[in-house]
Amino acid sequence: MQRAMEDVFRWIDEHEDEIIGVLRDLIAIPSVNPWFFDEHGPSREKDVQIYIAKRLESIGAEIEMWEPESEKLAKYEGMAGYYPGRDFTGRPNLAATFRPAGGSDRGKSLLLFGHIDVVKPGAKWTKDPFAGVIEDGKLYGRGAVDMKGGVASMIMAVEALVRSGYRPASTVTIGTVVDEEAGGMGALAFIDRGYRADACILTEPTSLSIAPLCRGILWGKLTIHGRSGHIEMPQAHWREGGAVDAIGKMLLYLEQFKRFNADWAQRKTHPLLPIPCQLLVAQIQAGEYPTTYANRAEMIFNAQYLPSERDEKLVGGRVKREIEQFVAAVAATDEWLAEHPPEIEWLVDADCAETDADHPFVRLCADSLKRIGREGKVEGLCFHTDMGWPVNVGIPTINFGPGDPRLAHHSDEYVPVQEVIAAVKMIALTMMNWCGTEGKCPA
Amino acid sequence: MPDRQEWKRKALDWIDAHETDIVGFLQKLVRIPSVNPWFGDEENAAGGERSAQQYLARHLASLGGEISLWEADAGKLKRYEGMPGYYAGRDFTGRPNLAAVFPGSGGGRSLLLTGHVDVVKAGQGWSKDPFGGEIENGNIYGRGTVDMKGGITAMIKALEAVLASGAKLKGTVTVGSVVDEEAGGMGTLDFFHQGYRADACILTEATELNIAPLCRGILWGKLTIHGRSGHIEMPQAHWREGGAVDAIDKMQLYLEQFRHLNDDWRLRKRHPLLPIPCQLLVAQIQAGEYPTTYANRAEIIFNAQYLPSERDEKWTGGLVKREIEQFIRAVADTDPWLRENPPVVEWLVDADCAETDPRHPFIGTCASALRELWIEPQVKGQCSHTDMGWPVNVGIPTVNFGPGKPWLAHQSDEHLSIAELMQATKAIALIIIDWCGIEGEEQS
Repeated sequence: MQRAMEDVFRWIDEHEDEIIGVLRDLIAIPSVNPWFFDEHGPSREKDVQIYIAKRLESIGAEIEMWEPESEKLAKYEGMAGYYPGRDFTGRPNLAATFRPAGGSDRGKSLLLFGHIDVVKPGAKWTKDPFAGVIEDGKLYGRGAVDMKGGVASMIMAVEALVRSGYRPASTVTIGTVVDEEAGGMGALAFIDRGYRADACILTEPTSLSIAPLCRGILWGKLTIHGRSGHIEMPQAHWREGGAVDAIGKMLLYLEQFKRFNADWAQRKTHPLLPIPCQLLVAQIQAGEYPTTYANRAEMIFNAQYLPSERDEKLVGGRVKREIEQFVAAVAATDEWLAEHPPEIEWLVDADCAETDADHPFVRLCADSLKRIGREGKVEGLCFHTDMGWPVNVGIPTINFGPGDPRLAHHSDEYVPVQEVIAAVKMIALTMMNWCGTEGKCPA
Repeated sequence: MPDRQEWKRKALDWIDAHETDIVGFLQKLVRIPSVNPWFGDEENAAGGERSAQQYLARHLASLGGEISLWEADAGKLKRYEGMPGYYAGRDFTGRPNLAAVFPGSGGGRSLLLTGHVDVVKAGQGWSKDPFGGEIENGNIYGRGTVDMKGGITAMIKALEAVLASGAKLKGTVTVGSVVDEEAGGMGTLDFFHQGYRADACILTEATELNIAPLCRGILWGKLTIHGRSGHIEMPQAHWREGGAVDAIDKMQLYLEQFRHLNDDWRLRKRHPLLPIPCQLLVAQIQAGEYPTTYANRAEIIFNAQYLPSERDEKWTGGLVKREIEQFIRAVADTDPWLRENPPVVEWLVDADCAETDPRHPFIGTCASALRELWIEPQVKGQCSHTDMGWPVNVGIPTVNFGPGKPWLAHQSDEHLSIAELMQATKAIALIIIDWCGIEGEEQS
């Protein structure tokens, strides 16, 4: 075992350029989730999957690639990751399975899991977001952190083992899915396909800490109705037909949400999380033209929830009700709003889950990290990851990957090259210890 | 020869006898969707202003007017740089101004009747066809019925009534109809640049039959507040260490601070003839890129009003612009991020204003015309901008006077009472007769 570790680590050290080259190849394919497209167009998610499939097939993986079908997932109505009618044409999931010689597992099986879609680049980049520029040991690009860095790490961890002359002694599956950045239906389809393991590493960016917990995320659109009218003129009371400024009513909600958040800040905390859950407004659109009181104001907000807040379908239904009740309670303080209640449309409910921090796999992961000279810190992730479904079907799951998650979705997103290399080593070592190895005779 | 009262009675009788014709004239004008191209409503803007002007020109020619129809040339108006209504490079291709001159026989006072044919886009929430001119319960519905095709109809039909009475006016009457009022007033600037003058002017903007010797200046500004994007679900470092800054939160600061500014303006920016004070009001907001990211930028479009007494040396809102810019800067100075990343104001429109002394004799003429119709004259300022600035600037005593409730302008289901349209037509006919005088009349 000691020799295998030394062989594998040596291979990794000698192949740093190739490992980083794979990450740059992944970034160069702009697999932006089509949810972010301004116009309908083909997704490049498939090209990433083909790249990975070819690479892993060449080192002995069994490949399965399939397009999720939303009709076949209808039994998950109301559950995490299910969006009726979502189109996955040209957007396949991928599973690459490595089986031990003889076919039966001698240790415990492992799922290495990640998503290959990215958010759109957005504004303010100083580098080409798809060129994979390296500067001062940092690799820049959309997805460098979220999460092509993690995907490259898990691929190259298995490759390091195999190309050093070993094989895992139990089944190792690399699963790469689509559509995480707009709801997680790719992960649902993957688990529905029947893939299981004794543990799972989801290689989302954690700055190399072990994260046995993520948060659920709700996106809602709050529409506040006003009544248009000439903004420069005296206005009658609205009961006599006068205008109602939707922007004024919107400001009431912005103020009330601050009070709402002050309560959540006390109440919605978790010992493994650095910040409490909040309801934060991310987008606003209001008004028609400069001479008219706004007829309508639309706010898109992002609210987070804890695994302990999930409802019976393992999603955020209770938290939705809580927000709806608050919006209604604010409306009840204002005569116009009471008679013209704002509406909430729920856009996304991205679920969450939690693995016991004392589970042996979590301790093994922390130990692997310490063995490569890292801290081995265990802490929760503030954002959603696709860990919900693996946990829901009974797979102890942690998030672990290179890159600072705060840089995800940011302009000039980058991952430190040495974090990628460290992640490859940690995943390889964990795999060797959890699954066992076969191949070269131990010295 | 009949005396003046008989001429007036004939004109009023003609108006009463031609109600269907007057209403039909307005309906036809509403059905020409002369939406100002600034609003980007392609379907209802293309050629609409020109079609409306041609319709008016044909009618005014049939009444004997000397017609001029021409397109303004922004290049020739450069000397007005910085002055009201000047927008460098604005294109008036296919958007003509119109003047129809009816020369008087001499010895009377001249009168200019003027208005604009462009309208704002229909917008949402209509229960009627905005360009249908439907009639229901004595009201005509449609975009522009109030602002201000009703006023244009009243002034043209008033003149037609006076001419039909057989009276020969001593003073020259000029009818002017301009484009592009709803996005800055360059049509009016060009009209007065051409040299049209008179001893008094009625701008037939909707005043609900009030006599309005005053309007307010209007500024449109776009305030852009910069933040810094970053994952909204994650802990963020301080912005000096690269952390995110929520532009929506900074925008909220401005929305709250504008309330304070308005509290001050409410007491300071008043006028005895105006029912409400000047305010800075936010009309449009656009902020944020996507739901997982703190907003990188927030844009606020606001509408701020100013009084004629606040105009700068170029008769525009420069002093008020500086006041708003200083306030925005002062708010930014309360916040370290905003101090180092100051919000930017872009000025989109400065629509000017003016004031005619309410003791001017022409206002007396207007008031007595209303009394003759048993309407108690109300002299009140206009809260919105009208194009009265340039006539006043070139020395013409000007009032706004027209049919329609001004708060219905720019609204869905904009509509005009037919009874009010008839009264406005009658009042303007009486004003024409009294102000211009009639040849050979016997003073009673």
